[in-house]
Amino acid sequence: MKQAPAIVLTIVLLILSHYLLNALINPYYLRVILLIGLSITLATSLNLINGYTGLFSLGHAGFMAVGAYSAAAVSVFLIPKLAFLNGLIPELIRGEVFFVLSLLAGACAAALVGFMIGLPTLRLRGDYLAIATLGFAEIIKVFFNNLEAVGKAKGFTGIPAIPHAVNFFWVFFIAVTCVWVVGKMTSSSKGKDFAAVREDEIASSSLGLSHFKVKMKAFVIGSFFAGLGGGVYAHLEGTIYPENFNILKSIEFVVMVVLGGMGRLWGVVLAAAFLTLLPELLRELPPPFSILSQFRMILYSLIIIITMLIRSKSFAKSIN
Amino acid sequence: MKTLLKVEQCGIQFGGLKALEGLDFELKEGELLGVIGPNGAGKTTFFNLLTGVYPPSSGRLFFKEQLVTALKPHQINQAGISRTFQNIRLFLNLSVIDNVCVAFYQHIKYSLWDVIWQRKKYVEEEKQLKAKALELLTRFDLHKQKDELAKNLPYGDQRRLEMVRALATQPKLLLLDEPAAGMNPTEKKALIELIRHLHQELKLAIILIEHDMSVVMELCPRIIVLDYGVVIAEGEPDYIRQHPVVIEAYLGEKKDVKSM
Repeated sequence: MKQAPAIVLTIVLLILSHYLLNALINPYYLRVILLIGLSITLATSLNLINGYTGLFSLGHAGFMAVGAYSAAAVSVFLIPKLAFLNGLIPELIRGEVFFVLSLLAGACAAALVGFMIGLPTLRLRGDYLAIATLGFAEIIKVFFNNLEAVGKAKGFTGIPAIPHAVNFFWVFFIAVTCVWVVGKMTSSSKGKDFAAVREDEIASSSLGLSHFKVKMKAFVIGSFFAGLGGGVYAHLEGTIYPENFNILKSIEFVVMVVLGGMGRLWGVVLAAAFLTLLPELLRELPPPFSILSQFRMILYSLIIIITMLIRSKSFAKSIN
Repeated sequence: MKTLLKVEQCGIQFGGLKALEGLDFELKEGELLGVIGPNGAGKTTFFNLLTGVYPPSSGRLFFKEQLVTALKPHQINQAGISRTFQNIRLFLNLSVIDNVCVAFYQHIKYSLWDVIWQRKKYVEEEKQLKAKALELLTRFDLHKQKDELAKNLPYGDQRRLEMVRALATQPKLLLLDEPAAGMNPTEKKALIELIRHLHQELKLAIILIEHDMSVVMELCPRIIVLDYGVVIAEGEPDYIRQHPVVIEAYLGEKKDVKSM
């Protein structure tokens, strides 16, 4: 496999930068960087659904919630019962193995929920699909809000931290994987079906593409990565609340995709980084402007509006 | 020659409107059939019937002796019928070559899993696909614009690209819906040559809907005339040209000038 060196190199680079950043950067900045990584995963997976395939999903935070709660539940409830396996797995990587297991469980749960929600809603178009996905995301939130086992509105506490505290590695390993998978898929001939369905459903079905299947594929893969992101987020935070995954969160991801350019891989990655960084940058403005920091959410919104207005398409094109 | 397509007493009804009625004919393998008729005669509805866009309200459709009446559009295409559209439907924001490559979809052997791992299987097949697409484009003289976005092509090129895309699905039967619409005489001439070439070289069965009589008369040995959803005449070009009912449908009733 000729990709093996690239994969090993990526992993080594990520681990190196993890220790480098830990040594050089204060924890607050490191946390902002981690949030950027998570945003990249979520925005890119939504880009596959909304950008490449042209669906209008407003429920991405819902899938993230499913991933976060499922992965956390596996870590909290199931993993302790797997102690009998301890002998089989070397001590050094035991934590990692169980962590990956719960992440995958979370991602698969999110993909499954994506599939089930997709069955009825992907028959809808445009605004109708947006409203239906919004509704389902709310249902997911309400479900966790009322589930005793995961702490209801008080939050799901006691989620174990990422083993060996290599937070940066896991966050960005998943971000890189997500960008890689979406990017490679959509640039292959077989993966052009997403764009074909977005461009013209009637023409694509006249070429033998079932647009329902294509949409479902985008939806399930997108939910899978949203679930992965959610799982890492849960272990990063230690405590998660249903309110972390409300409609505003979904809209945040939609804004990233729209600002980055629907169906533009690197544009959306940049937009995700920019929009995660922006509110933090506005938190402490240098002296003459420091008074404005009180109004940072207003400034944040204004800057989004202005960038939307002046965003030149040629810029987005040139980076792709 | 074997029968490729058999239409058995097919009709389509929209509410009280009978868009097509009692359609009954056969198409042999490798035949070139022309369908003409005045505006609103039901020509495009006829294509929508054959491609599964509208299922027939009555009657049955057979393709290669298989019943295809209830199939969905993508299944009809997989069975071997491909079409172009009267109002061009390209994937406008995809490049010319991608428009063709995505049409290979059902014949692509690699999976998305192979793509993610960039396996040899994917890299090699992708290379072959691009080469095949380029070959098709060259035949239609579109190879120079292969990296252009489809929406930036001039009108005539867009029509030809739609034909390339339909051919890329490797059909047994190609349905062309007014391919000469909006073309100038030189372009029309080239198009006639192209269709003739496809028909003869690829042994492809073609049904051609066309407004332009000269194109149909020159290309098609057999012509069906539709009016108000009903077949009013069928036969060779010369027969059709002189058929009184056809003339009436196109030009109106013949009246004696003196008596007016």
